[in-house]
Amino acid sequence: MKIAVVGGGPAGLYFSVLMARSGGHHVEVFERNPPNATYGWGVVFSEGTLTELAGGHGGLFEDLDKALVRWSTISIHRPEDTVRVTGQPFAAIDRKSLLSILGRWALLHGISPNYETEFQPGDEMGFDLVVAADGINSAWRRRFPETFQSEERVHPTRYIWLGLEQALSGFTFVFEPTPAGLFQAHAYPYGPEESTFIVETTEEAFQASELAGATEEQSLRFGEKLFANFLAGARLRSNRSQWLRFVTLRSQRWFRTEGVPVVLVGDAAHTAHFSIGSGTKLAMEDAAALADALVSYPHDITSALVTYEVNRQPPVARFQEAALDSARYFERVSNLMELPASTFAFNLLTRSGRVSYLDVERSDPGLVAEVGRSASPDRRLAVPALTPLTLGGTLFRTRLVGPGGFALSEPIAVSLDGRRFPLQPTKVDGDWEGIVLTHAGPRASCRPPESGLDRPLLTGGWETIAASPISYTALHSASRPLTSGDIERVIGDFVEGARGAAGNATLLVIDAAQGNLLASFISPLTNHRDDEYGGSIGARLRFPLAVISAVRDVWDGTLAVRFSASDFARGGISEDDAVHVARAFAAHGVELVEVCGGGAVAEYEPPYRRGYLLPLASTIRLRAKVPVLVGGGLNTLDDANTAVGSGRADLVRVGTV
Amino acid sequence: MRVGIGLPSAIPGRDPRLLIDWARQAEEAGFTSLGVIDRVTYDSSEPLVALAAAAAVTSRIRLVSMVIIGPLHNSVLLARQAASLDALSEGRLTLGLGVGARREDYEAAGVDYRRRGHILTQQLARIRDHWEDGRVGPLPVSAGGPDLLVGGASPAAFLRAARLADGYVHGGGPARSFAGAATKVKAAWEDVGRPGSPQLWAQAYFGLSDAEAVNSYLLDYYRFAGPFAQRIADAGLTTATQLTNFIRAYEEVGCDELVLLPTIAELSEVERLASIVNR
Ligand SMILES: Cc1cc2nc3c(=O)[nH]c(=O)nc-3n(C[C@H](O)[C@H](O)[C@H](O)COP(=O)(O)OP(=O)(O)OC[C@H]3O[C@@H](n4cnc5c(N)ncnc54)[C@H](O)[C@@H]3O)c2cc1C
Repeated sequence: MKIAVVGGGPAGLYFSVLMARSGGHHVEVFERNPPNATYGWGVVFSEGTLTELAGGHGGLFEDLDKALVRWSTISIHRPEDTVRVTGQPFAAIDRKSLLSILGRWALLHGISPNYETEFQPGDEMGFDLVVAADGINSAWRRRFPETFQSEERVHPTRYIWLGLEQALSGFTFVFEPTPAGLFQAHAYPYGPEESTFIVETTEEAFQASELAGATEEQSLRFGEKLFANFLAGARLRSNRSQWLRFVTLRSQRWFRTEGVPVVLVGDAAHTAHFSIGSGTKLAMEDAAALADALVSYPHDITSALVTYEVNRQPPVARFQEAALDSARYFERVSNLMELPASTFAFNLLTRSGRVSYLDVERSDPGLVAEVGRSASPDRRLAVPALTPLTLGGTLFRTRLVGPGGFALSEPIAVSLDGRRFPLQPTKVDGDWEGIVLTHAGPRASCRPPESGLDRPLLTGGWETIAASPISYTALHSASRPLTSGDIERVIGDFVEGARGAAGNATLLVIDAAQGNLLASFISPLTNHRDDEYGGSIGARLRFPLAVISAVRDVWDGTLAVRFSASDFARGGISEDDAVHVARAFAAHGVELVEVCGGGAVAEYEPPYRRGYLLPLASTIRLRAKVPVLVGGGLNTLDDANTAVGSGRADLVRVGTV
Repeated sequence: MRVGIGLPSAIPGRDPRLLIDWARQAEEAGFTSLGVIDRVTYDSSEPLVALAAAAAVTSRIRLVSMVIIGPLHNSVLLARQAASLDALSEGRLTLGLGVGARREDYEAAGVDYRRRGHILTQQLARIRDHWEDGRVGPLPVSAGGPDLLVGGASPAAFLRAARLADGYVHGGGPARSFAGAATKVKAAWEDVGRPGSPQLWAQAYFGLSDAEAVNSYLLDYYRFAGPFAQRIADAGLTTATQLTNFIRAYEEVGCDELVLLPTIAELSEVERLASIVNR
């Protein structure tokens, strides 16, 4: 078989080395640039990747091993504090050294790349397979958009890739607030006297710092001045560095078999945000998997390509998901600046959902102990989710809400027409620490939830009310919009509900979530009113706030509100508006906000997975400065410890299943 | 974890009456359910008809569709058929519905493929309504109607399962992929405030007498998957060791019932499978 490899980057060269070593196939490499023309700084490898590389090619790994810089700490610097996290083994290598080792081994296996040679679609005649290792701007991927079905997402932050003339002691994050906004550096050593130093910031801070038209030299000086404290005289370097926006690339298919088969590897197929430093790792793992598959199916290219794609898609997708979480973290990290040092560090370590409390406990027990102390009211040594919390007059013995924790009632309807289903209680019954009051609004008058939600009653139903005359599903009739009389009555019903709860519980939760009556006013998807209760977020909040104020006047205990901070549907409530809502609640005497999502409309797209509501909860907790309760795929004590220890939530609703 | 077996209702060239003896034997061998799959543009028996035949010759074993492509059916008639079968089998039906994966099935039935998710969501509610209201006869014998399962892997599918079904049926793959889906189903249940917990069902293909036949059947059935058909065929369980490991892995990740679907239309397959499962 004759294979054309397009691109002499890590993916193309490593693939060629592995393929040539296995013999059999004829490999030819094309690289548009001259040898050693590469630029860039260091690339990072985890211990896991190194083990795989060692298994892939022993000789090559030995060379690599000698050129690697290894470390096992992460240092996190803020103007007022520094935390060193231990037990984080990583390694890095100069990109130039990596490519020259790969190039040397290619030669040893009899491959001499055709440098300064373009290989474009149309040049494939005479080859049995084209391996497109031609990087993010892959001409081969772009040639067949309907096959590969790629999708590019441009990230909102700006970054610039610089170098530092000094070897740092390990992975290093430096956070520098400026009047224009927060800047952060992601840095790590990769040689005896050099480190990578990537500077990132938000678009607003970038613009406000007048970096838009900056020359390379100006950007460099800006960085040196900005990080002067941390750099302590060390110089930054640039190399064709410019301020960029990262692009996450995903492709549905990684190969085509029509005509001369083409397969994508490395950055040509996918990218993952630099803040989890894995582009080269993924590229080399792809290369190894492809070589493996071609060796396993020497006479069946299709089976080889299927095997390659099926083996690589899932781990790459997981990495991309983690990388997106990490990118999102850095977009919003300025919200976290007030967290205590250890909590901030723990939050950073757990940003991508791949590292939990238990993982950090194993690698750095000291940090975890400090995290527990920060969560504990008297700074006692403690497990974060098992520390007590007092809000108003309510003592939460642990941070767990639900089975085995703080006992919250099922929703109690404040009036007969506010019941979801006929047997929903309208009176407090049983022993609860907290009582939830609801009015189902457009979701009222349905059959019991055991046999499915939102199925209107056939007989014995009643008229439903909502912000606007919308039917919740096609089986519902339209709700009647609230009149000013209804508004007065509903406020009164909530007040009566609160009075009824007095003496039965210390916490009262008002339900303004998931499409119920109060929620129908908040979401732009369901509130189309043109009176003073519709329009801007301020107007849409007017009625829910009137209910809250009236309840606050009669309720002496702790007051909480639950609301949907995202509708998970196009045209739904924005993150800024959700923060506004939580702030307004707090200003009206609400002491705890439960962050929920979805439900405004019956069909939405909830991104279910472990902790899917945590990023929203964290944003609201830190920007609105209000204590937050959150659930959403959080089922274990480890999940709860991670959420509470990192300052993303104050209380965690643990799964009911 | 319970283990069921599929009926040989979608294997081309079968004796259409084979499934009758198959059903009888499966019940005797102790399998907990008989499963059927749905595919319009393929030589396969209509799933509820196949289950009805099986119902007639069995008395304890559960009858499950995994899944019927709901949007292709008129909801009233589907509700009626399912209720009839539930009555006929004395409450042994579990009705799994999904949107399916093949555009040709929609073209054949004249249904708009792009509206499939929305149609299924409405259909689930409508079917339940018919089962409870009795305006369309008959009433099922199971209180409130048979249990409903939903398949699919999109966020909308998990939400649909939690809002309107009683559980989830996974489309196949390694235990790890089942576990990932199960986490999402549970998160959905919690999210919408649905009482109780979801039933979690799974499926896989097996064939014990002739590995080559397993391969060629699955390649043919999954021809629509293009180059990926071979991969699916390779995952067919053809040895006792593979089956035992597979069953154990699914058990460990909390599957409630695993249904093993046949690829070879020979009665001896029932006994062969039973001897491995019952070991
Ligand atoms: C700021 C930043 C930081 C990063 N940090 C890390 C890190 O810490 N760790 C890490 O692992 N990764 C990191 N990466 C990612 C890393 O740079 C890439 O993921 C990696 O180089 C991908 O390898 P590749 O072989 O797929 O593509 P590339 O390295 O892009 O190689 C493609 C090659 O193909 C050649 N080429 C393109 N088209 C043609 C053509 N038509 N004919 C001939 N030749 C062609 C190009 O000249 C190039 O040499 C980072 C990226 C960025 C932007």
